[in-house]
Amino acid sequence: MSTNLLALLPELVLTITGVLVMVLEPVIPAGKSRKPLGWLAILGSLLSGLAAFYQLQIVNAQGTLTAFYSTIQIDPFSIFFHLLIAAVVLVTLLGSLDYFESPITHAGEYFALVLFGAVGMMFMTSSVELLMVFIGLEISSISTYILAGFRKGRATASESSIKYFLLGSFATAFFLYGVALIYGATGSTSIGPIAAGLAITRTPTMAILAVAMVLIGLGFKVSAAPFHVWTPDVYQGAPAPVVGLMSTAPKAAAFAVLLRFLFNGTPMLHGHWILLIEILAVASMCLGNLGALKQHDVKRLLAYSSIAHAGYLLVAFTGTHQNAVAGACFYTATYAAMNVGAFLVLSQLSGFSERIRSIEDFTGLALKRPGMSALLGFFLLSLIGIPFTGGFFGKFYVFSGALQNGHVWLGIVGLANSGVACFYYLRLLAAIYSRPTSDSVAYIPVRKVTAPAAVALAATALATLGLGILPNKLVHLVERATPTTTAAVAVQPTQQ
Amino acid sequence: MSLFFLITAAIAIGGTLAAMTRRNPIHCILSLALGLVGVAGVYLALGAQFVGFTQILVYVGAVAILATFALMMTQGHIVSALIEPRRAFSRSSVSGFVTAAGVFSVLGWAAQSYRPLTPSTQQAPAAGAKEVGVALMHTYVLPLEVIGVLLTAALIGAVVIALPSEEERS
Amino acid sequence: MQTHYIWQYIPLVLQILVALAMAGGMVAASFFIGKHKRTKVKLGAYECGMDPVGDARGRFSVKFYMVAMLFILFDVEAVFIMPWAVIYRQLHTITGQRLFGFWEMVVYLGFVAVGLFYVWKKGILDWTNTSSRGDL
Repeated sequence: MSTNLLALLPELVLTITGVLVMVLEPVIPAGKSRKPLGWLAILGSLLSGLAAFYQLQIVNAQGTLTAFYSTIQIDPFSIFFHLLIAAVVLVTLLGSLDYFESPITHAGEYFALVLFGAVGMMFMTSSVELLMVFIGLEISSISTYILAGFRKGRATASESSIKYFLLGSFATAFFLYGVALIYGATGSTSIGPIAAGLAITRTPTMAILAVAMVLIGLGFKVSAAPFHVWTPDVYQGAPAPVVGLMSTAPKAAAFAVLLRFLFNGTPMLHGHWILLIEILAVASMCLGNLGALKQHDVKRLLAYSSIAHAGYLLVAFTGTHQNAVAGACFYTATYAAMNVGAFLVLSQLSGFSERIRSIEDFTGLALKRPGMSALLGFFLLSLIGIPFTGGFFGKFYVFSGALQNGHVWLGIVGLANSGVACFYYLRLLAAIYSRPTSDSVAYIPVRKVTAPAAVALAATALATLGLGILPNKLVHLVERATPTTTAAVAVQPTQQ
Repeated sequence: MSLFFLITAAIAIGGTLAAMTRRNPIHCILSLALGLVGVAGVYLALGAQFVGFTQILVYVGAVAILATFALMMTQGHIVSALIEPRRAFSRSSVSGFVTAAGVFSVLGWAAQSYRPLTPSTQQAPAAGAKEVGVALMHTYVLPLEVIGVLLTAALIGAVVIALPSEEERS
Repeated sequence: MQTHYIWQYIPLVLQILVALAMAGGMVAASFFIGKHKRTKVKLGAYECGMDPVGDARGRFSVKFYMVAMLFILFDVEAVFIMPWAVIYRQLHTITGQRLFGFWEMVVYLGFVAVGLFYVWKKGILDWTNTSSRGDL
């Protein structure tokens, strides 16, 4: 197999599956169940995960792969994110297989969009060419804009989709403007040549501005404060499995781009962007946690919690290069496991119509759905960062990395915020395990948990638990993941 | 600064200004189309021939038509009735103006202080269809393919938005 | 003589001017040469048999939006084919392989074809049969 094809294998598998799903959708007669398409999509994401594993073997044996005139770089870093994205997509698809109550609500398109979105996210993580990153960002964004509005006919769904689309496009424009400015400053949009160009430039003003623009664009995508205002509204209106997906996989991809761009592309400007990162981190942690304190809607509460978690993740960036990559990768994985799990539980509890929303609706849930309550409780404890859950070690690595590099006050702010966060997570937990009020429990319709959803729930719970008990396995992988810049510069073809 | 650039830049700025300030949505769309023609002219003045004509083909041609159709789908007169009369010094317009002024003054400052890495003596190379073609078939061949994926995903999105679901039909 | 490259667009500008002049000239000529007899029938709506009543800005079908949207998407796809066609003869020297450029474009056109198939089967292009799946 040629290097080019090998380097694209996971994306290729997902694209082919997505196209198959899309072609088969209108061929299946109206009124028939779209479940076979869902199974096809699940198979595709599974195969793409296996393809990423295969790439890992090759990279272990032969070293980093570059392909397509150095636009794509396959190293342990990108493979880690490929595996993570494939896993999140797999779990999301399993969880949403029985999510659609009536057979036709564009279920086929749903599966195709999830797959195409994953292709975009994967390209974001493996590309070292900012133009390619931009196209990947666009694919993942367009898919999630549409997926956010999938509960059509509801006002909150339309609000969710349109808000996400308008603000998201604006943010993407900022990212693109940043790329254009960095091209102006260094004469390249490729990570390696950017670093080389910055090393010899005398006036880095334009490059600093470019980094700020890129930070604004990606800060929006990871919902870091002060670019977070869209998050609660969008998460509230979007279907729960989609929120699980879009609060983890695209954010992981955006963080991967940030890690590569900041540490490999603009290490010369470290002193400038570290300040911006610190501001973003502190603002996200504080605004996220304080905002969550007064929320009644559970999805809004988890939205603010995801803003705070973006802040914790940004703290990782203040460590040394290796610590930052290891900490951020580990935290992304644990955050993905517990957040996807929490939203899966929500989707299983309230279904497509989402009749139970507020914390009051959850009062006394443990009496009626003990298993689901225990799972949700476990994910909430992990989000707090209780020992023996993945969340604990995630926070541990992130904060210890920051402290080692001398950012003591950032660590203190982070720990204080973790304390504040206990209040709202425990408020929800207390509601679940309190005595039911007169009608709250009777109100909850019992939905049977189907086998695929049960597998998805078990997988997320086991991943969260496993990362809490045996974090070493993943730590070994992520500590190797620090990407290096290949010096290879694409040679322009001679003009004929 | 050539005369051609000044004319096209004036058309671009005038068109977009009119698009922001007109009350009638149809007039806004037509002014925007005019502004986009001006931008296309700027591209041509900079020697980016392919981008300039693509701008006219896609933006002035297709996007303006889509905007008009989108307006036709909504109840036009209801929309214009809902839009509140704009005041020049409302909170949103002042804050928007201050933000834009801040961003562009910083940009201008960066551009002024910018010294190119290597002093260029010749004019920027022309970017016609041929040069773009060479780039698309060499360094940027993968982005070209991935744009295919992007447009396919956008196509599905357009269909999902426009086709009503079972629930809505009943 | 060294001329600014913008002068290469002079023929294009001339052509636009000629087109404008022809259209404007025809309207002006018929206005000045023709007789004006304004009757009620002549000033009414053409061939409709009904006097125009109310606002022209009624709601249009979402089908128009679909057509415009598809037009944009296929337009953008077509834009990327043009530069490829311009350099088709030199592709083997640019890519270093004989048919690499050809197959790349086949893959790209594959995406266009898949999109067209999907839209077709979905019944979006079907404006006559209201019982089709794309019942808008």
